[in-house]
Amino acid sequence: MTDERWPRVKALFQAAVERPPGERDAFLAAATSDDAVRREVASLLTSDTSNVSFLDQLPAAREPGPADLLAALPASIDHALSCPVLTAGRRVGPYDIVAPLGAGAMGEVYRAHDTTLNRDVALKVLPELFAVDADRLARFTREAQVLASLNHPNIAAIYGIEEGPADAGHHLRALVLELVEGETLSDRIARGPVPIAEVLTLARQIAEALEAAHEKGIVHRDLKPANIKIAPNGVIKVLDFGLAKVWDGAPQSDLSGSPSLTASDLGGRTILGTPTYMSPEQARGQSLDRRTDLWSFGCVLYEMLTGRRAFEGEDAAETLAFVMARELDWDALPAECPAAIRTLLRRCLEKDPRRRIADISTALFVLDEGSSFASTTDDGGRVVWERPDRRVQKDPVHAQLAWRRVVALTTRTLAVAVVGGAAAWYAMRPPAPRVTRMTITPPAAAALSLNGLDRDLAIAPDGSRLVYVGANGTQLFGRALDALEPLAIFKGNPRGLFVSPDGRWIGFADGNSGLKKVAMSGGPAAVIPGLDGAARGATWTPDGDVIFATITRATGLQRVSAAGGAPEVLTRPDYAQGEADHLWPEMLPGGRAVLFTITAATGGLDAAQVAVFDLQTGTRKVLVRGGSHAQYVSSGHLVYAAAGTLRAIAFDLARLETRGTPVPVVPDVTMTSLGGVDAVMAADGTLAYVAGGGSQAALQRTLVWVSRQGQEAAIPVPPRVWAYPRIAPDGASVTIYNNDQELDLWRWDFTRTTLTRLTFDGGIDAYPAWTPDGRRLVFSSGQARAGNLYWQAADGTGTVERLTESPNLQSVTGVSPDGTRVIFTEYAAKTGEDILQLQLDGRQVTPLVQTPFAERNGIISPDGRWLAFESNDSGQNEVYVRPFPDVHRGHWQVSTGGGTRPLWARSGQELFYLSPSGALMRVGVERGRSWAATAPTMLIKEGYFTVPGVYPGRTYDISPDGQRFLMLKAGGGADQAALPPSLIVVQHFDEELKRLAPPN
Amino acid sequence: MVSPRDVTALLGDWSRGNRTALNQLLPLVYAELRRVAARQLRNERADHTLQPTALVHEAYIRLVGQRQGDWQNRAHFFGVAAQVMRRILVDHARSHGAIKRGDGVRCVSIDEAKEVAASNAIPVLALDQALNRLEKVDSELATIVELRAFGGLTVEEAAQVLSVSPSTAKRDWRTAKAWLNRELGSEVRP
Repeated sequence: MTDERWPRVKALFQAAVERPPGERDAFLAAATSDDAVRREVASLLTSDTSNVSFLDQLPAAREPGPADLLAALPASIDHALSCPVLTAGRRVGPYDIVAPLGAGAMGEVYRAHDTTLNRDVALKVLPELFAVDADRLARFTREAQVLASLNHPNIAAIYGIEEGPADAGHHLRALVLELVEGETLSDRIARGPVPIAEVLTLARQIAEALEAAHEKGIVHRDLKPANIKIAPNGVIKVLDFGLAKVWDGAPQSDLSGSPSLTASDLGGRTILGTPTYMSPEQARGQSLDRRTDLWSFGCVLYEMLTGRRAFEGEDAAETLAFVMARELDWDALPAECPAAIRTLLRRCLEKDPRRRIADISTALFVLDEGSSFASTTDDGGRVVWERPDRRVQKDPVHAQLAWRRVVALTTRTLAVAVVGGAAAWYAMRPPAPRVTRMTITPPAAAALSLNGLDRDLAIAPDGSRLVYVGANGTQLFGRALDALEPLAIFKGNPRGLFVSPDGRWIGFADGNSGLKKVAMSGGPAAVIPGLDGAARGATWTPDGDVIFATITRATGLQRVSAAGGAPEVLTRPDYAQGEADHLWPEMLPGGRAVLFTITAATGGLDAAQVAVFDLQTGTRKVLVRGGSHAQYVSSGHLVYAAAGTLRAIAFDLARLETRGTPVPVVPDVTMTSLGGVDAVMAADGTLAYVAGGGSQAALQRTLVWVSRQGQEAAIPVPPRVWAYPRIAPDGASVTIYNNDQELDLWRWDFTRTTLTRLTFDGGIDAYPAWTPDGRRLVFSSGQARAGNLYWQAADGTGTVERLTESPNLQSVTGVSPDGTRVIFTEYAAKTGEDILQLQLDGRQVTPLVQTPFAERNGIISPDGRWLAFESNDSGQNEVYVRPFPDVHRGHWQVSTGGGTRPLWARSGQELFYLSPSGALMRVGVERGRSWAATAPTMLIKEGYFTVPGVYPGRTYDISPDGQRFLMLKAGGGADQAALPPSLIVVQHFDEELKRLAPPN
Repeated sequence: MVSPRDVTALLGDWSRGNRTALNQLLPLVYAELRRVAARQLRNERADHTLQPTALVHEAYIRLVGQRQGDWQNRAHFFGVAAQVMRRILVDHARSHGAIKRGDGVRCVSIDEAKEVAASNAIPVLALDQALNRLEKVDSELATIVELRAFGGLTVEEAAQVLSVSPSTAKRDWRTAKAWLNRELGSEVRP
């Protein structure tokens, strides 16, 4: 190219670029016969970014950068924002580049030939930014997979993502798209207004495309004539579905610099989309739902009818101003435009999204009926309902479709208002179905068994069949509601059931070995690979992937593809925010987002939160605090577990937001220790659950006296999930912690054999310790985010007084014999568990043993001279003794081969602890100035309940006379099996929810 | 210290084609930009960001004053600032690139590596070189890019500086963008 030609090239380029893309080639061919000039202009046209190029956004001077002025400036010219340029003949994976097609949203588009499938495709080459940002790429890939699931004749398909070889350090990634030949709607409109009949045909297809996408929870967000292609056979294909959304999750700085993407900066907010077709809420940068597409649809419809854009100003800013404030020029609509279509337009182009048509099916209904409405809209609403009947004779299939949509309309008053006749329709509505409750008690051979870890029942989406774990956790049983007997469908160690959306498969965890699935009707089980720990919840996506959670805290939610392959980690717990794990995923309808539970590092289930993870944006937000294991109900509610009850709260599926306040809907339901709930919702609104009570039989324990000779004597305390027994100084009663539903402290009176509840707050009250005078109980309470120290009168009277204020979890392990200090274990982020003391006089807290290792269960000897505790600084837990209060004067190991939970005899002459196997060990302590003790010997064999080593808290106590030990014995005794748990089924529970928690 | 009147006069001279006036202006603007930047960096927290457009604007107010600055002068000042900015950036990119390349082998942490990857040293140079080439093909196009990209001028302001109509500036800007897109595309990658 020589310089002499440049003025000609420049002039031709500037003339050509003003023309619609489809006409440019013809224009050039006519304008010059000089091939070199034409090639040069064509290549410039390819490089032209019609709206905003990266250079627009990048004036060195525009983008804020880091503090160093000079380093700051050119965020602009980041090469990562520009797209790799491919030339014809280049190969990307199986695709041969044929020719550039132009620049579209997000990148250059090429026609390419798929050598494997022998078809032409469109390749959209992504900015290199995607390749260098792993997070974004992962998000994009996920998103593309969702979009790829859109399979509709009016939607241009996304075939997949192709990754080219990295060459010269540049990564090449491209979206593989269906290649649609033909002109765009934009080209068509450029030729003038479209005749009404054709408008209806085109608009109908666009609406069909939107309906299919919206049903999957996918919003287009950038619908415009340029994104709508008319194939030569007249079929509409909507392009770039949801791709605008992919960008939305990106940091703003990336957006503003991205090429060929319309990013306008208004008042500091970056807005995505094409201003002309942007909804007012989009223009304001507000959160969007499918109603934004309804607006854009209205704009497109208007433009087809009038041949001019609904909103167009001199520049983007003015256009936006029009979008937000200006009333449309309705007179521009052709006179023959049916009144129904005018009404439809008005309701699509309502600036307030709440007043806009909420559902594209409304538009479809109007379009289906087409111009026939024109003559009848003045007849009154009733006529509307007669129309489809009349059409049955002509076109039954079509009429059925229309009817289906009418039915879809009934819940949407706005939609009904559009077509009129709301009152008539409501009068015709059948009465709400009756709520029905029934109890199913399976026969003994197929008795329901719950393991307290996971959900052990499932229900078919149509509510017709229950599946549950039975026969002591060794079988899956299916029980059709219209049958009498359950049928075995799997043998193994099934638990944690979940159902495929089509109701054909039951997924479950088989022991801790992995996820499996089996047909609802039985048959061989198939493995779903990829589990990294014991499962705690799993759910199927509409695409057949499984999203699951495990108790491995390094990972939150994970997704394993139906096709196999390594699972993808979707979320990780944010430890800095006090999160412990992400559990109990439950897919929301549409597949756009998944509910899950965030368990808290401290505070127990009261601090658990129900959250939602948006698979499209990769973002999550908390929906409910103080609840777990939420599921969606078709009535527009979430049902979740809290403190042994089911609660419901209205839920906006489109916005992923709760509304109003929660109400209790089931008073008593079985929950697992990590917040899972034995309750399932079918898509048809049927609820099935297991009432509490029978739930934790496996976890229940009772108290027993065990003599030094190992002889047991029963204590008639009712079996429950007891822990941390602490005998009163006078030996007449014991304080025990109940870990099933209340998480409170109780007192058992040995002589009167009465059980009295001592604490009543909503949080956890645990780790009790008596003051030596027997008048008060010190304990840890999780009323705040972390458990701190409190005390109250031992008889339960008077008020509870808080003793410490700390963000850390504190568990009481003892009170000094003189009653002046409380010894407790505190968990701190930096030093792990440490032993601290609280001076009751003055409330001063000082550390006693504080190292990077875990020190726990400190307890002072009856003579006040020694502190016994356990530490893992040798690599395993061992019991040690230090002088008290001057703990740094010495340090002796007491246990050998491991030991936890030391306890002094009241004589001070013996020290006891638990061996790793749970046996009670004894050490004789010699009186003297310095520490001297005998070698440990086993006193009582293992077999009594103790919590795992990593949790603080002693699980036994000794009688005041030192002759017998109070132990926890697993299992509840004879009466445990008396009441096998039953399943409770509530049909039309959704109707009940509408009454109990009316959605706003 | 030069007075606002002097700067205004120099701007006026330059706008009438006096090349000497530009040569006198450049060091003034350069020094003032440096001062403004340094002062802001002192006053702001270390992690705070600076907006170079705001820098240029402040330098303008300090050098010319708000009241004396009519529209024309302001545009011309920004035109000068654009040249200065370009020079500063290119110099910086060169030295920065040299440091990053370093001498000999050095282990870098992942964070450092990310920083290097995110730095824009080479593209600034690429843009500068592409602009040099565009200068030879069409100097007006090169100037408009310089004004827009480095001076933060709007198309209308650039039109003022170049004494062309806004619509011409708009067309030229689009042409320049297409030219640079193509040029940079082939420059930065094979």
